Amino acid sequence: MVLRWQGLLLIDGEDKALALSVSGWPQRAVAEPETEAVIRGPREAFTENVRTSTALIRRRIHTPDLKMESMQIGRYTQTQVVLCYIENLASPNLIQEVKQRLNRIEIDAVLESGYIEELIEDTPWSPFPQIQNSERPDVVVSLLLEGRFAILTDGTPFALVAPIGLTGAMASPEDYYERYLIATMIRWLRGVFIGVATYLPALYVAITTFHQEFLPFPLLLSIAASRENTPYPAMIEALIMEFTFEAIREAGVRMPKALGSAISIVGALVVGQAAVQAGLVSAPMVIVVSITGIASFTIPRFNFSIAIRMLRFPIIILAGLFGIFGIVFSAICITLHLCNLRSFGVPYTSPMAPLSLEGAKNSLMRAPWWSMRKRPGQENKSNQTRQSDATTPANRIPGLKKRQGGTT
Amino acid sequence: MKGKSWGYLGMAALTLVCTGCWDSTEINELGIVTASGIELVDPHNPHSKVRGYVQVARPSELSSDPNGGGKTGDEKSFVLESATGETAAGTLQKVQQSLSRRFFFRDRRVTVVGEHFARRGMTDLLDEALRNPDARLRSFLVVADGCRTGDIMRLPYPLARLPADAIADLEARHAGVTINVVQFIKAMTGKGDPYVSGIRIVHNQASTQKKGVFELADVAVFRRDRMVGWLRGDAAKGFALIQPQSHRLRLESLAVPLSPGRWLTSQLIILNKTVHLTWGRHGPQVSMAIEAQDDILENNSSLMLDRPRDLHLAEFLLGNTMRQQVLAALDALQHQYQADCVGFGDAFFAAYPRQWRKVEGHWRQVYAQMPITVTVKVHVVRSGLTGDSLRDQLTVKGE
Repeated sequence: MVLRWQGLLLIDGEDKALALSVSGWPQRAVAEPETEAVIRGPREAFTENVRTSTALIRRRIHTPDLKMESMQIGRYTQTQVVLCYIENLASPNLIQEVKQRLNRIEIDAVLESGYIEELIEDTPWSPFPQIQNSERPDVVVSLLLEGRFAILTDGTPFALVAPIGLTGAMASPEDYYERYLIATMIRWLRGVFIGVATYLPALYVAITTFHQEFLPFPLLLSIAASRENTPYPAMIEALIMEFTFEAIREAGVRMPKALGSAISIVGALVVGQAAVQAGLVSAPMVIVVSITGIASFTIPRFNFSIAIRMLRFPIIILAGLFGIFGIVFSAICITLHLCNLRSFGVPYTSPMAPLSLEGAKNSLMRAPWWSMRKRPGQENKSNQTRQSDATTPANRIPGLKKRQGGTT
Repeated sequence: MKGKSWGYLGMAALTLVCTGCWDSTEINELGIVTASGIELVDPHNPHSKVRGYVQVARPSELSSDPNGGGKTGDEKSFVLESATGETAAGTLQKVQQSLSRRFFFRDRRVTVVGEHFARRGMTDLLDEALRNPDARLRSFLVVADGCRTGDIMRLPYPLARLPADAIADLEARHAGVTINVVQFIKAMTGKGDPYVSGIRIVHNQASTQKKGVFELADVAVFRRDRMVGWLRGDAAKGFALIQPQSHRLRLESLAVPLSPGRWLTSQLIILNKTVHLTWGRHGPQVSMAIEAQDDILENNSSLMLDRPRDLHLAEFLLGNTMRQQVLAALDALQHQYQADCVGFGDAFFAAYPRQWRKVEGHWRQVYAQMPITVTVKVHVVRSGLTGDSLRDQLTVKGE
């Protein structure tokens, strides 16, 4: 106990002692979340202190059903890890499974929640993340309220949440705070751009090297004109440009903030303009790579977007070798893999496959709050209703019920 | 297990050194064929060799430079190569051998056919266009009228980057008759006969193009695959009104003289054609009803177009002129060429298959004798803001 920074109060005549948590150490104040920016929504983020994080969650959920179970993981670090769930919403089997997986961990040190993520996820070889991480208490709370669990780790502001699915990658917390029509549109936009980020450079390579007849005649002439003086085949060009773009992005993340503007000058001028003017790369390729880059930034979850970024390279190679056939082949492989994935037993592609209309309301589109009466994708079937129907338009707007013949 | 996965990785890495599928061709290795042409080397000898032309785009000249975009009407935007040989396909292969880039026929927009080649028969050319999986079947056909094929293909067009683009755009406007390879072959192998729009070079003193520009005019009439003659002037205009694709006809203008020097000009908006077939005791009969909606472009006549009586008169006059044109076309087709370009044969075969079989062997004679009645009805939709002509309005004022 003393080793865990607690004072012991020993009283003469008593055979038990009181452990007092009197420890304190320098810590960061609650700040704005930097990785998940929103325009509208709370601006609090977890901090490195796990107790601050639990307090932020506890502040938002006032029910004795919210359970937090602490445990120490790490032989030397004895890092405090808190498993968080709401009893009656989370399925008991799920909680038992996650506890079992956490207990299995025997490791020297846990310095970040990423250690735990890799040690407990279902398919360790997959590029796709099966556990979501978030530094926003409102995201964690909303997922807890859908019957999922969270794992808070001392020493990092990033909490782990599972089980999650593919559609979770398209969701931003703001979707639930902004008006539902716009949120739905933006969600579809993200879906389209996930496709663009994965396949656009590969499609460009395939079409310009194998399937020129796909191009409308004026576009064919323009692309032919710009490719007239380029030294490399389209596939090599695409790979070079994509690598360069990844390098610029990586440099932008790693560089000290004071040098940030230098990287944009080098990136924009050298890679963009100068390379085209020198005839090293064709202008359409620069456009394709930039659109792809922007598309990959629209994916709200970073760990999902790096998976897509990584998959792009083998797809480009397949497209350069086999054309559209290669792209289709890669699409089939990715789809098969996604259908095979599970996050703590929940299919990764749910609610699309297996299809659940109630879940689709919350994933393919963002249905208005008054219509989402059941919790989506909840495994615990005993307590599914989220709200009454008192706020549906039929019950809320005077006269509407009568006009519709009394139906709700 | 570990060795196996390394093996897979190694195999994947090896694909990087593969050259990939043999179909792969970079865009800058393609010679984009925009138009091809064919003619007889010696126009007066039907057994002479043929000369094929290939117009290939030069992308480097077409690139849009940062300050202004690609130039139009540039002679340097394309390369014209030709070769002589026994057949149409043979000449194309010969041209290919002399060019460093692989031909890309999928955007061949136009095929220009020499008149004498067309008179000898088109099957040779069409077989290549139909058989070649690369060639697109929707490329337009035109027959060079009064000039060599090469002259037309050499000519840059001032308002288009590539002359073939200009021809395709002219065709796509549907101002006259339009036919592409598929439609031609359908008409040729069906019960009717095909037709092709003519193309000729116009020299114009005022034009900035000293070498002239090309225009689509007149109709080449075919019997099966051989060209038999031209429909010119009124007959060509009339044929445009009754051709199988007449519903797509646009921009056709019609000028009617009312008295010397006083004209009424209209422009066609919508054309509706209904063909009514009957097969009576005296053989097949056709009655054709054409319904047109027109705009009045100019009115120099004494008609007051804001009065219903005068408007009906104008409609009658326009309709009558159109009818005369149609009759001129039908007369030439039935009696001069005996070519069924309107496609009555197909229609009769569909409507009266049993009777058709009896006349199938001598359909051309039956067709030449067949009575065809034509009614034309014109509706003037917009007659303009003023009723009577401006000239008449001035005379009222006494000037």
